[in-house]
Amino acid sequence: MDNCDKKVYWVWLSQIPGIGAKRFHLLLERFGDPIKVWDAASEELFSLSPVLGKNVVSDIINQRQDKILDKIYESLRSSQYRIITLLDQEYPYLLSQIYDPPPILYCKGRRVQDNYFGISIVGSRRSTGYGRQMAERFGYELAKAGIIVVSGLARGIDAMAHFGALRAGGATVGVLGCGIDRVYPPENKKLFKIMEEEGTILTEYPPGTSPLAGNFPARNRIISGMTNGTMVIEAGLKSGSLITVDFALEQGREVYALPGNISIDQSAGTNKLLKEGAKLVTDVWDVLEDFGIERQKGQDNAISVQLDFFETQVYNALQEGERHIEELSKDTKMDIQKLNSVLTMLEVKGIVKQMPGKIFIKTWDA
Amino acid sequence: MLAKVKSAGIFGIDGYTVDVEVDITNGLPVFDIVGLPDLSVRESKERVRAAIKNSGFEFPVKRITVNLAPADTKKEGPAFDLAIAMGILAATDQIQIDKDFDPLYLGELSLDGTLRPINGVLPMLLSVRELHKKVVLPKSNAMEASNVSGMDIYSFETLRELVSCLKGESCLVSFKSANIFDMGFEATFADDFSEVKGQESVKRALEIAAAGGHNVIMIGPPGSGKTMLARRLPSILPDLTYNEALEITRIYSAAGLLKGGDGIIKQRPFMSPHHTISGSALVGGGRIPVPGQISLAHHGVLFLDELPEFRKDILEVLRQPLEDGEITISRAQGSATFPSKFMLVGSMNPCSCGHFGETGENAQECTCTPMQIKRYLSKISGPLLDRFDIHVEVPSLSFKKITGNEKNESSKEIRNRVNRAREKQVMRYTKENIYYNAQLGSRQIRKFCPIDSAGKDLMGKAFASLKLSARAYDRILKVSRTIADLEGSTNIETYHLAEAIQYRSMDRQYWI
Repeated sequence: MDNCDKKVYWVWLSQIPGIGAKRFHLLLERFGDPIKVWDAASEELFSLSPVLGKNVVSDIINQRQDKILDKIYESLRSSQYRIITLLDQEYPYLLSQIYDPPPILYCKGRRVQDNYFGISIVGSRRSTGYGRQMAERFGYELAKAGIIVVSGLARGIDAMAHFGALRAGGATVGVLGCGIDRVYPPENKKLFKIMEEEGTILTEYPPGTSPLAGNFPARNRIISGMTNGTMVIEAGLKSGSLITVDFALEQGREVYALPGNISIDQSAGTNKLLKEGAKLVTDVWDVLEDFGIERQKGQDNAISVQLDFFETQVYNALQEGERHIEELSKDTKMDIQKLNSVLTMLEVKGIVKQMPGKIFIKTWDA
Repeated sequence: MLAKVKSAGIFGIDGYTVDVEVDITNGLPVFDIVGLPDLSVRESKERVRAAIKNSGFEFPVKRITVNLAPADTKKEGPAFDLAIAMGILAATDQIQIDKDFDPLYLGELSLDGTLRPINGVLPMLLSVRELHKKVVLPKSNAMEASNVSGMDIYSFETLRELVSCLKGESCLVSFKSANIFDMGFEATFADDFSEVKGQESVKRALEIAAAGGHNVIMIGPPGSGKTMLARRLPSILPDLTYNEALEITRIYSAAGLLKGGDGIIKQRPFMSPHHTISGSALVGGGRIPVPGQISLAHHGVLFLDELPEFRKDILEVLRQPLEDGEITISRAQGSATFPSKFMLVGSMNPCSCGHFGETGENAQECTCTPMQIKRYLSKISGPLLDRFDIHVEVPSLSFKKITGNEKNESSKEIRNRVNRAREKQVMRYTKENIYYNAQLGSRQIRKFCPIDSAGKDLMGKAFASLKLSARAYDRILKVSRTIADLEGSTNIETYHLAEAIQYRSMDRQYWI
């Protein structure tokens, strides 16, 4: 029996409705291998009814059809995605260490390297501009340092973390709460495409699964489970990111949190985590030192691009934080028309970023 | 006995001559009006009868037939009262019709014989001034009529006064207006930009918009002053020329909206319809077409507050008149064309709760999800958004307080700069049949908005790094042309482009 034949039974068992990771592991413990479940006598399965539930047992028995196996064979040969079982070498080793690792992963894109360090970056979908910028920054800096950046391919923080890692040319993994053939949320279509080529997308849900609200907490256990630590950029008090943190703690992983403005809802969750003992992060070295990477002396602050007199004035005015265009006009004593053109030049040079409401901030790496 | 006098009717904003024929024969006393009169014309029987009697003349107890020719056009309004009365008086030999004095008679009669003002005098006279040189009308319409050059205007208070003049009992003097404007004139505005504290970036954007005739969309939280700023926009628009004033007055007169005074409108109009407006109220319509808001905003500003709240189909009907500068409304009665060269100013909130992107001490937090924001912004269709050359963000109140170096320029100072920039444009486009930068087509943009290699370099980089959409390219060129004109520069310099790029907020993708 080759590997493919063996996989078929893994997939078959994992696809039976009602069989999640927990019941799968229960059966695995009892029978040793999914093929034995296929071969088992009905009586033996029925004897498990008290543990599995009557409906699940009858489902297993009903699903023991050859045509279902044929279908799975076909999907195994699909070029759209690949299927990884818990036994495969490719299965992320950190994930296999958790209490209920998904028996099957559907996967697209690059293979996750065998021994890796990973950090998951999570945060509210309703994020602030600051949050998105920081997600991009840490995604970039962690990936640059060779850490795999894991997130959920959702809106806001998630997407920015992926973008940051991709920009650094590093490895990044997106974990879905739906089937591998679905794009959710739809506005991330472009990101999905890039991730398929330059990153990795994986999910435990079989193709065709809708992004049901109930799937996401379970997905979060994979996000935290795949990594050595979870970093929360921004989270409200009821954010799903806090579920990921709970999983990380359960799994014995580190929790990092970014301090935030105390008057904003989106920071309430992270600030609460900090109070409860999460590690406070103000730069990437706070994370990297846990991996034994030496803190390096901060690079000098000189910017590499040439700025003229007016641009320098605006740049200096932005040192203290975000500024509205009229504040800048007051600070730099420039009139609006001059300032507008200087700001465009700074934006094009990548030194200044514009936020909704004509607010300007210095980019983090400037 | 038969008598013929002349009058005029109006359709849309065009007038036409109406021959009023009155025939009086012996027979049962009947008073008939034919020639497709509507109810208000038919009711003139009663007004005419009473006015003739109460002015001390005799109303014949005979069979009276009045024909309004051309008989196949529907007539409406009380403007024929005077002509019918004069016809009856002439047919009964109470007055003599002078061959040399055959004017147009316009006016509504009151029961006591007083002449009451009518609507549409200016458009009627403008349309028929080639055919007729004399007009008799109520005193209160005289000022309005005096704007039509080459017309002898005779105005009277009462029917009796008119008749005694015709009989030679007092002399016939034509009305001369004391103030005829041949040149542009300066208007006075109730709202002035000097009253606006701060908001320098918005003021600058509006100045550019006024100079180039660009349509503007303002994005900002509720209460940030979008309406207040828009209301002041007409005060910095270029001075009205006499011909433009005449065109505006013509529309207002036809719509019956001309209020006494000088008889001519000296201010650029500012129309601000509510977002529940219907399609025909916006562009014009009705059984007999009347001008809509876009025509009433001719040579002025049409301000659509809370743009996403307007019905989508209503906004789409704006697209064609925006391109053509006029709207043709076809009805069973015929079709009327109304001019509609207006500057479109829209305002909207950045999201449905209105607080997205707000910062500052007393900022309110946005409670919208990214999806809701996206849906809200997508209520404005791409083609409509394309009509707005300038997008400007209006910040919330908390920022207004912090401004220190505000210039508080008066509208007049700004208008002077705008006038100079407009002059440059008119000179440049003499051969192009356009007047200002916003009208540039894509071929003309290539011709009149050339940019050097440094400019091209900036545009390339800006599009790549700021994620602007492709449709922004031509708009940025047009706006930078206006910025250069304001500065008096012949060439578009890189810093003009750089400033123009800042006025494309809606193209940015930071709205998530």
